[in-house]
Amino acid sequence: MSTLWRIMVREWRRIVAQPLCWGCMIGAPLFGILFFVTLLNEGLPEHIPTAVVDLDNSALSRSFVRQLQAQQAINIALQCDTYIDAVQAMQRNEVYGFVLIPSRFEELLFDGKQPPLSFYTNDAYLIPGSLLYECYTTQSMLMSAAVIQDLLLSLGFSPQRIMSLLQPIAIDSHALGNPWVNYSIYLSNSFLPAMLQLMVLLVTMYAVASEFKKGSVRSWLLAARGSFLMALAGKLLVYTLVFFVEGVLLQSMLYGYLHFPLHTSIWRMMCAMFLLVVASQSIVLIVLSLVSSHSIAFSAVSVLGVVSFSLGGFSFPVPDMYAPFKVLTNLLPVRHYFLIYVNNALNGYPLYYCRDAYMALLLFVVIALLMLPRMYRAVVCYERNENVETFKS
Amino acid sequence: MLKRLNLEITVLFYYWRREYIQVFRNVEALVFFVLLPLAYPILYALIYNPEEVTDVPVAVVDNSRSRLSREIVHNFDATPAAQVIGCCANIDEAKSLMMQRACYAVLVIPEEIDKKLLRNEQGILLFYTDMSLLLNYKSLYMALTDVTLDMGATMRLRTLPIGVSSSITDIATQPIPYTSIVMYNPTSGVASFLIPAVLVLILQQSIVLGIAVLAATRHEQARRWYAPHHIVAQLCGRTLCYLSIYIFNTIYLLHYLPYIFGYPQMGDVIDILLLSLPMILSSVFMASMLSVWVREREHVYLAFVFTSVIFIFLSGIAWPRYAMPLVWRFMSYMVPSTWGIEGFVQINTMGATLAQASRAYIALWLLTMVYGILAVLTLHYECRKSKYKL
Repeated sequence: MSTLWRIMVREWRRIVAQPLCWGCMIGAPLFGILFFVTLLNEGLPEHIPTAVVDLDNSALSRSFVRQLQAQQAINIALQCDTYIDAVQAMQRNEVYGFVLIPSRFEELLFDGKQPPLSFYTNDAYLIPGSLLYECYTTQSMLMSAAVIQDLLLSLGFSPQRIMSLLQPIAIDSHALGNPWVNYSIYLSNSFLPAMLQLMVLLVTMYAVASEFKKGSVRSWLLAARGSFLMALAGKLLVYTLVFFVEGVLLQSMLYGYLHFPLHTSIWRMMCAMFLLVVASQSIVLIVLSLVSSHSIAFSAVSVLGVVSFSLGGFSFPVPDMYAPFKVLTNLLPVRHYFLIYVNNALNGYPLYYCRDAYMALLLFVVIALLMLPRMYRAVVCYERNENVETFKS
Repeated sequence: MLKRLNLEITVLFYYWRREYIQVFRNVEALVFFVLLPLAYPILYALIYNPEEVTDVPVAVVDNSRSRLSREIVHNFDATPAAQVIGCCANIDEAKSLMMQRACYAVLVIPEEIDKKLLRNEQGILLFYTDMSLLLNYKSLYMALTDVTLDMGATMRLRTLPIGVSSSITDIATQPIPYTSIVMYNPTSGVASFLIPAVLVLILQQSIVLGIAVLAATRHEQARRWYAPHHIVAQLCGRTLCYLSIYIFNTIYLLHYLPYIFGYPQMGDVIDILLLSLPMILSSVFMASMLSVWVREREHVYLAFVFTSVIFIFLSGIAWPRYAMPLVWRFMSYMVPSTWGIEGFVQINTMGATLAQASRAYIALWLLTMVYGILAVLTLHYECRKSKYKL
């Protein structure tokens, strides 16, 4: 035990001596948490700048514009005279969409000529674009309903009958776990663990690679009394602990402070977080035992860490990806963590249904352990060379 | 004066030439300058290439088993968004399908829906969706809404008295028809909106990583990164070297990649190239400034890889910039990629002219100036401190 402790103390000293190292270990994840949580604080963007091209300018069209303005998501920033003006405002990024009300709109409507409204949304910015589309359609539905109501009333239908006729089939939608369609719940729960995974990968990689680089492999092994397993365990344990504590902090921030859905016990999520940290560390060991060049190993884990954000299937669903990518997603620990989160915390399913994800995370550790002899050979070989070189000089 | 200028120009050309040797001898720098911009965007583009979500599996619990309920299921299944994987006997069966991730939503049709509609009451469908992915939820919900509205209009029509004029039936179905024109990204695809931003970010990040690794390599060899004299000439010379390498990268990333993958490409090539000039210059100067603090090659990964994620969010492509807290908005102003992405999306995706994207263009030149001055100052300070030989 004292050997392990000595290695851990040695590792801690090495970390403290390197400002960038503790910056990445503690600063970056905390900054990331702060960044995402405050950035997406609103949950949904509100008051999206919109333009209106009102070619009719009648009482009806003005009332439509006023009702549109009353929607929380919309802010009518611009009243344009022509279509061209509105398009140019959109190209200048001043508005994310606009509504075009045709001339003689009111007149044609009362005449029963079905004057069309046109909604233009800028989907080069997908989130505001699609939100605006929803707002526009809702508003035009409401207006249509008012017209239909008048018509039916004039045809002699009773008010009760009209209510059911306006929308004969309604949808009672239950957005399970996130009824507010809050983007923060959706993004923070996937992107922040992915960021933590990225930092675990990079920092662990650096911790091992820097021993080789600084030629301190010998002193590292000596501190462990020649036991490679001890040396490795002591080294990694420091990072496991620090990142696990950060992961728990992240979870307490999400589920405690922000009250994001947690339909399971927190222990299960903490267990998943621990496995995420350990599995990410295992990936580093696997990469190190497969690749001898440290710069290639560094590039590999960087690519893995960054690609996780897209390949993890947080923004684009995995079933819709091409087949090779579907297979590759299994190589990302954070993908399994994400599945555990969705099944347990968001949806509250029994543990049974995410057994695969837990197993996969454990499998990373098992594979890393199986690969250790390869890494051991590399380390010992390197240490011998080091000895020969010091002997020569 | 003229002599001094002459000397500066000689230094500039000397370092321009020398930097090529430095770059092409450094494998890691080559990886960042050539391989990363070449291969990484292809990987990214392929991940998102399916663009939109289609045929999301949905389970149906049809308690009504009527002609109407079958019609609802049939129409819902016919939409591109949904695929009905089957009818379940009860809600528990559907729930277990959802737990196995065999479906992402459950549509429950209540027992008496057809009778209710005959009794002139409103029929209500219950729709449960998994919220792990908002993309699935949105496309399913919109598809179901369209189906019910269409069917509702037909039903309303049937209740009208016989013999009303066609204009009345028109109003009763849809008094105000609307057309929705999705501009600049007709399929509302994920790739078409995200990849242009990623391309610009890759441009900046590869420059930062490459220059930082060059500086770190010099540092590891215990050599100076910049010689103590003629800092400005050195910086300009090296910048010309990077710029000449990045001519190819820029054309490849900002012109050929969107072309190959068929992303919206409405802008003028000249405008895009004009925009990319201050983008690259400001990135080079920012990288030169930051490179002073990089001591080891490994630090490059530690310090800069993580920033990509932050920068893509700061750019406002996913979350609009006006909705950000003030601190982050100010921070986004400092990053070249923010303006590069804004300008590139405007010109390339939205077909704006450079004049319409002038905000981004001016901001990029301002950043070029600011980072240029900062780079010279930090390099100057660093050189006076450095103990290394040349």
